[in-house]
Amino acid sequence: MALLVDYGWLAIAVPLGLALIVAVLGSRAVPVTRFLAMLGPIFALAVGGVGLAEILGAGAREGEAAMLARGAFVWIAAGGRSIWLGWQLDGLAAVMLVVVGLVALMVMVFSGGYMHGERGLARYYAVLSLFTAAMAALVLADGFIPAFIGWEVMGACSYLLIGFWFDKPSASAAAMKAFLVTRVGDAGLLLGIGLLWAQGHWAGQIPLSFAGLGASVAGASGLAAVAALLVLAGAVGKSAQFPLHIWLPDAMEGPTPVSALIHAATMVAAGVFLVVRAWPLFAAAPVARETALALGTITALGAAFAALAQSDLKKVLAYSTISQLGFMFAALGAGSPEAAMFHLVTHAAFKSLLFLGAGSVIHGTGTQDMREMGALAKRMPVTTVTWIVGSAALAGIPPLAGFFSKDAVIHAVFVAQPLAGAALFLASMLTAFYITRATVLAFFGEPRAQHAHEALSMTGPLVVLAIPAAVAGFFGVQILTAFGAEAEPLNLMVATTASALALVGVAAAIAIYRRGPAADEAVAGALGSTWSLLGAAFHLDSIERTAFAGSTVAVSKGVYEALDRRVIDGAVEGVGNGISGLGRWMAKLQNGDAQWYSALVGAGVIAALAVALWAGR
Amino acid sequence: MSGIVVFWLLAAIAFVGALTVVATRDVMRLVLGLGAFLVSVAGFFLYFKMEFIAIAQVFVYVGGVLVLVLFAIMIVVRDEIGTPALSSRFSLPAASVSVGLFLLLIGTVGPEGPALSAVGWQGGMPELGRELLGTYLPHFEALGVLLLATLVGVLAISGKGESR
Amino acid sequence: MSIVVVTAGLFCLGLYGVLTRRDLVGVLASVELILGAANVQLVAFGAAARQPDSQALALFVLVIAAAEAAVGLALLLAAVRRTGRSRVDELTEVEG
Repeated sequence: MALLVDYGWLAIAVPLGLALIVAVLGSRAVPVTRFLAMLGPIFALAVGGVGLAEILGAGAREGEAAMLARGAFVWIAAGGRSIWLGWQLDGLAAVMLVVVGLVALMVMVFSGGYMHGERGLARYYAVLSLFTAAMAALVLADGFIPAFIGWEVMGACSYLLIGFWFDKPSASAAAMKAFLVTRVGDAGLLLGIGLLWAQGHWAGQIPLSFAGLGASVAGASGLAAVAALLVLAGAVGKSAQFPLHIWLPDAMEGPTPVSALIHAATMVAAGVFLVVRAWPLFAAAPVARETALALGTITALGAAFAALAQSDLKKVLAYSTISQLGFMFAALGAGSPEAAMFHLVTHAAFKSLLFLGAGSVIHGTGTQDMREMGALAKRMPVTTVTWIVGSAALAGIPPLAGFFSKDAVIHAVFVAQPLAGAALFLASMLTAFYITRATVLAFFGEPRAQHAHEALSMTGPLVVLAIPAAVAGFFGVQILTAFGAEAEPLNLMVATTASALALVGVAAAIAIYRRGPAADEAVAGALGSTWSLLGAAFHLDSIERTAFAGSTVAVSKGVYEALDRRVIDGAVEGVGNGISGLGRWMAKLQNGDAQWYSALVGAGVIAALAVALWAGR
Repeated sequence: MSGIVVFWLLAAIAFVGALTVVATRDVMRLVLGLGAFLVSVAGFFLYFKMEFIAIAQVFVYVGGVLVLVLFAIMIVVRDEIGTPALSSRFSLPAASVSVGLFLLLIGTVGPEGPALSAVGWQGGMPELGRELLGTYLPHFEALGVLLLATLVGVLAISGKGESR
Repeated sequence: MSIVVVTAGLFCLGLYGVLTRRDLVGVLASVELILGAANVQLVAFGAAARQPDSQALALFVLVIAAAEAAVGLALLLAAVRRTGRSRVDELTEVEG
């Protein structure tokens, strides 16, 4: 058992190798492919599970971070400086491995039913495995370099999976958008890494390692601030925070299991994870924390508002994810990475549950539009029950997991900045409202769907995920201990306020939407133009598209016209024309006139003579 | 002093003749110009007191070559289609060659040239005869061969040529 | 110096004519100009240096020039007889 921990880096290598094997095997042997692919997350889950057991079993005290195993080697040595690659398995990594492994496994099992009969399944499972490997790489990274490698590979996998149905133009466009928008953040991250590499004091330790991060910026608060902001930029992109959030709703073009894995539980959480790993940087940079707090709060509230007015079930969940990530960022900004990580873990459980549930609904009814669903409870009982568990967890209803983690988050934020805390209270109420709206519209009321059925291959994972969604909150102490943080007791004031608001939200939603989708018109009528504003998520997508993409295109068109066409083409063609003209002129010299030739020769001779004579002087 | 006047007079005639040759459009004027030039050359020879070559010049050129040219022109005028338009044209390279060469010559050879007053020596005939049949005998004989070749060549080129 | 000026001037005029005149007769006449001018120069230098050689040399030049004039005129006649043209720019083909 201990071997698993000592060779923890296999959690990266095994899924990676399986990805290659699956890719090579092709679509001919899909059941075998599926089975092989599933071994990857199982392995990661095993490593994480064993690691956790060791930490908790060894009686680690609260407040101490436990390191189980690590290793490092020089990757590139050049000019006196070296780049190291290494891994570390500590409590945080172990917990993340469990999360990633479990969710990835459930997604793969679910895909067996959901993606049955699709073309290109080998590609699907191969990329899913590759993604698992990349996420494991990020989680096990001991420094910025291996983390960045995993980060970028995940981005590529996200692109490949969003655009899985590549012949659908909207899917390809969404994949491109996701990649490009996160690229903006990644550019910041890379700059931050470079800055730390160049300006940080790395004497006596591995450069860019997380362990040595604190010492590297000791006494250089300016450096820490700039680097922290740049790293935050990368996190903002990956975790779809304002203003780099516009890619996530579009990413719903990908298959729903993909959305469950990547855009709910793991990849989008990578931003939060990275900030936690780089915490020594943020601890020394108040400005970065304040920025995170502000962005997180704005995102949490704004996305919650947008989720109110969506009619596509997946879009509701997408905005919900953005909003919940905002909660996590706010917690980070408030100086509590523990609260953020706790919420990350619970969110992974219930959000992936909700997405897979949506997948089951979509597969069963053939539609994503909630206005075409209704009364699914009768025909899809397991899905309904697990969905309700997930929704309640999201809404923060006690005693489900979300209640505990949200309490920790709001408490930490409220202490740091009461205004932000109040905003998060409001966002929680909206969360309860919008998810109940979705639940009521889809599962209750009058049946508007043609048919609906559920399949065991899909309901199985739903049940499995419902368990942690329900009870993970009670293991908060253990989880936080594994992180090496102190577990604070529940803050009763926050807990009661939040629960009360949640119940208000739930009740209001039930009251309004029991009539069915017609209620939307009534609400729209009451709110006026605000309703369409919400539905379009404040038009931020179009605004950013015009501002950034539009301006870039305009600039490049301008440069093309002015520089490329006139200057460069002009020069090139000008040279050509010039030489042709010169040739034509010189052709006139050959006119067949013997006297002309002789005259020219004579002129040359005279000139040469003159030069010779004058030079001789 | 009168020598200088004579010299420049001869020069004037020579130049007028040369200019005519180079520029005129009328064939007869061409011949006259050429004739004037050739005569002035003979005059120059006399000025330098080389009587023999002066006479030779008159006989050979004025009497022989010029008459030849005249005959040739008359035949050309008769045989040629259409009215012959003698013409010259301005050519920049040619002009620059001429001017350039002129400048070059006066620049290099000029300063070394003889002064007008230095002339006065009598080129003696006896000495000339001794040179021709003594030192330059081979050259003399070769010239004879050359003249023979010329004769034969001229006959070959222009004798019994097919008319169109 | 004056002698060289005159002689060089005549020589260059002749050169200009050779390179410029469009009719063959003119070209031949211009060649005579060149040869004549050169001869005068030769004689002048010889007189100044009191050398009898110069007269002999000048005689040779004269004879050769006359021979060349004869051949040139024969060519002119032949050309006109065959092609009916005597202008330099119209006699562009070399055959026969």
